[in-house]
Amino acid sequence: MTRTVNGFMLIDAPHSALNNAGNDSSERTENIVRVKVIRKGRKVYPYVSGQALRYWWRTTLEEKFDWKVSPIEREKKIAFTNANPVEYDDDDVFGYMRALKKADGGTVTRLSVLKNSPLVSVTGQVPTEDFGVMARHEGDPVPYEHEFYSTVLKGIFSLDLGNIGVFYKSEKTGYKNMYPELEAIAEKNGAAQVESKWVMPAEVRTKRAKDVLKALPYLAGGAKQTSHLTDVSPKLLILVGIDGGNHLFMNLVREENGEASLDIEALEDVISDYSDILLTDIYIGRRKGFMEELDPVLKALTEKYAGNSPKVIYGSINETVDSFVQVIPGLMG
Amino acid sequence: MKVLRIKIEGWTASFRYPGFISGFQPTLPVPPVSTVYGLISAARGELTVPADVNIGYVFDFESKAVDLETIYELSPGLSAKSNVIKREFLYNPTLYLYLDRPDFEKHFRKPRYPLLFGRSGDLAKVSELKELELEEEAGKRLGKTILPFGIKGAYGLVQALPSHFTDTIPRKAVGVKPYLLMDEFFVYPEKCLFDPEMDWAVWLHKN
Repeated sequence: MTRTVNGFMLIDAPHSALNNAGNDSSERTENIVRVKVIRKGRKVYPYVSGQALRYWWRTTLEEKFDWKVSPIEREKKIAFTNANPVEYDDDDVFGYMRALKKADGGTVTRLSVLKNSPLVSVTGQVPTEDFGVMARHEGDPVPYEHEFYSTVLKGIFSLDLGNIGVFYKSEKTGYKNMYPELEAIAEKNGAAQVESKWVMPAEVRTKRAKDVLKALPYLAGGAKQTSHLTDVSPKLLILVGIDGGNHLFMNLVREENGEASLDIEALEDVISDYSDILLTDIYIGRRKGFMEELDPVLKALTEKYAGNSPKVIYGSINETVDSFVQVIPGLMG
Repeated sequence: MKVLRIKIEGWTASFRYPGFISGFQPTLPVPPVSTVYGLISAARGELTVPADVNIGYVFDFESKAVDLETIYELSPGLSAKSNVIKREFLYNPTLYLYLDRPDFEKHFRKPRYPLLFGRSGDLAKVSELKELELEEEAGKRLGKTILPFGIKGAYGLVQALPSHFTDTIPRKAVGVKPYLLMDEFFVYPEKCLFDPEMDWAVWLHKN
């Protein structure tokens, strides 16, 4: 059985420029910073790269949860400070690739157990071109432009619980996580060797899994925070544990009259169509003030599924995350 | 012929050209056969090659966009240089995958590993599983897929691609041959498997 946490989130981005595409050399003036967008016909959908979201996530884990983050700089003679998922939580969860000398074990790679989509705008946008100047010096001011948008961004992610803190020795791409020195470190750190893989102690694995989810309400990051200050923590969050690697929450949100709208019917379809693979209740969190119209709808949904298995559990973002992480130990396997 | 039809949807997808190593990374307009075998392998949890199952597919997307991505260029030893590259990707992709093994349904019902359309951020969802009967008919629309080079009336981009990869380190490309990447439909005059529900012909890549 594969045990995966499926997550869906909406991030409110009023007047934001969270991820930028830099300068376009073909611009009439050469100093406009464009936001990253997807064009579809005449519509423009701003987005945040999956990579950027991972960076925010990793930084939040480091700052808020004291994660030991794998050093990127390395000195020539200290060979094993990186690609070390035993001692560095982020190497375990976010994966790595590192080319070691053949004698040291060859190239090692680890697939990330946390996978996330980019954050994509639900509605089509016309990004605003804002005009600014740098004028603190003597002489002519230097004008520049940047873009921003006001939208709701959608994102999904999956966390493979079965593989957190489990390191393989297989000669298979993505599964050759170990090298001789790392095996020694693993043994020293209480990891157990089970066939050809190393398994970290249960409390380490559970803590890492819980932290990844507990970081969500504190997610921080994004470009242009000085002048746009966007709170990028999810305003709507859905979490569920499932059997398998499907991503069930891709179609939950739609563009309706230029606004983002949560499709409750699509959510109910997921609950009924996939009831055989849902391993937990459906946890829905919403921050007060965001999509306020959903409050009665979600309360009604909770009542409708009260006698059901799985149930729908609805609360604030923090309550939802706190109660969902309680079920993590039972899912770890 | 009895087949399993699997509809897989995503938000983004990116299928790299084997020839582009650095600089701008364009995406192929349809996934290569090897990528689809990779997807089946992820669902099944074990290496799946053409000898295990024959596949056909129709792939579509809504638009193309370009992302900026940090990559780490590794060289043996301890050095890794970071670089920013432009990577093209497809928006709102949908894959209709046909397998001549209806018994694979269980693998797509509960995929062993997360399903992806290319990069690790291109998460995908199995949204429909259906067993159906395909008849052979002539004069139907065929395309939005990859075809062996040399099919009558077909046109598009020609690219040498493998049929699958080994799971060894390093991975080895197997069965490299020229394929035609058709990102539109054309009317195929000859007999071909046909999906009456979707009103398109399905090219089954026979092992």
